[in-house]
Amino acid sequence: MDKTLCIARNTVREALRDKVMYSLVLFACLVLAFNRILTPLALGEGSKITRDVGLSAISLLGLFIVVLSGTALVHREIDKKTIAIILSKPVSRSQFIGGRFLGLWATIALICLGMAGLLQGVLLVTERAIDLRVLSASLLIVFELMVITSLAVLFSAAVSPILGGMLTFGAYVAGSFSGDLLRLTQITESDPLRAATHVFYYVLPNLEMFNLRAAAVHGLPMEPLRFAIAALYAMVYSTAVLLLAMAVFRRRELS
Amino acid sequence: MSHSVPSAGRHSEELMYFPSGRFLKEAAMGHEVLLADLAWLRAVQYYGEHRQTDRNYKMAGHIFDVVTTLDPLFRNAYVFGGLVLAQDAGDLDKGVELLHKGVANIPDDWLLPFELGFIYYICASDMAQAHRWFMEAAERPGHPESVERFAAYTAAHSGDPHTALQLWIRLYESTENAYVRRMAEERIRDLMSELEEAPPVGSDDGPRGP
Repeated sequence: MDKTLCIARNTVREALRDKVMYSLVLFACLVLAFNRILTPLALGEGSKITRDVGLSAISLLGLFIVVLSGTALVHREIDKKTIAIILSKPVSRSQFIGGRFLGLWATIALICLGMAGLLQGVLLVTERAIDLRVLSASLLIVFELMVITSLAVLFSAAVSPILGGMLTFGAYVAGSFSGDLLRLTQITESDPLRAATHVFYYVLPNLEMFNLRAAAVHGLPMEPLRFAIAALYAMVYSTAVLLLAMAVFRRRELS
Repeated sequence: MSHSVPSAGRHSEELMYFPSGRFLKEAAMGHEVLLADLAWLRAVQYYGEHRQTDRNYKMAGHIFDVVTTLDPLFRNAYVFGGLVLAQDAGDLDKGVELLHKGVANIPDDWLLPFELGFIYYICASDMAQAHRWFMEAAERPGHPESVERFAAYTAAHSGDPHTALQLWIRLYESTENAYVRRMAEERIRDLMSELEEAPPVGSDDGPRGP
């Protein structure tokens, strides 16, 4: 576990040094600033728009970081030939994958929670109040990104960065439609199609589970049980995907 | 000689190609409320442009339908859209349809049935429907006590300009929407002129509103 955490710490350090991170964070700050400019045009809906833009910026920023950084996590080490040095220490391939995942997810969590803090700061200045619902929705976004990060690490272990990026983004898109997949299983009359749709529904990530943005924006109650189930789902799903990633990486030729 | 389309006309043409709410909801990938806000900004711009030019709001129904399909809990979109369609665009059916959609999506809200009653009273002079919807609003939690007074008054009296004046004043005082306030201000001014021209007190002209 120590070796895994050591790799994780190193991954965080590397990621925070990556200039892409700062560009994206700057982009997010600009989005929030721009949003304040739009408020006078919104006819009284400024606070709603602030929350919507802020939460979506956190989600999309996190997704871009995962797609841009996560899918090259393993390939970068293979390309620079540093993978041989790392694995020649007594570090197993599984520990390497686990450490990379933890490090990347910790980086994304730090950036997203930082963004959430910035959003709370804007709300504190404009409304003189802390909005716990927005914080809860931001936390769920972090768990959603845990799932996407695990998939990015799997693809990083198996294929090239470009293909890995496309597959990760594709999984995000497909996961957004999980509700439609479920509805398809209920309305279709074809048994093979229903069976196939059921398989896809359970294999693809159910990202609708993490989407409480509408509830946060409209001040609806957020059930702690739903939050707990979503967090548990993220942990179980990510663990399963990581085990698969470890199995794939153990069999991969690194020469 | 080049023909330049008036600014309002050009933007109306753009709105004709604005995708439907159903399509955008699927394409949003979990960011429907953000797209609803962008559509809301577009709707506000559309209304403002046409209010200053030709006062032709033929695409208003489409754009407000898009906003409320993307974000079914966007209460002010139903309120503003319903008023624009029924009052400014003169399309009572579309205004009522939008507010019915709101009542179905936000069943515990008192304001949307109240707005329905308002529109039936002001735009359609339909006292029976106005009374019915004021009663619906009075049954929902959080309503102000004036709702019950309006419900009682519409049961007893029809077409009274004092009631209409009270309704517009209530709307003016309760909204933060600058366009709605302006709309209410104009109606209040018109009704007050009408009441000043009415026969003086002491003649037999009935009660004076809730």
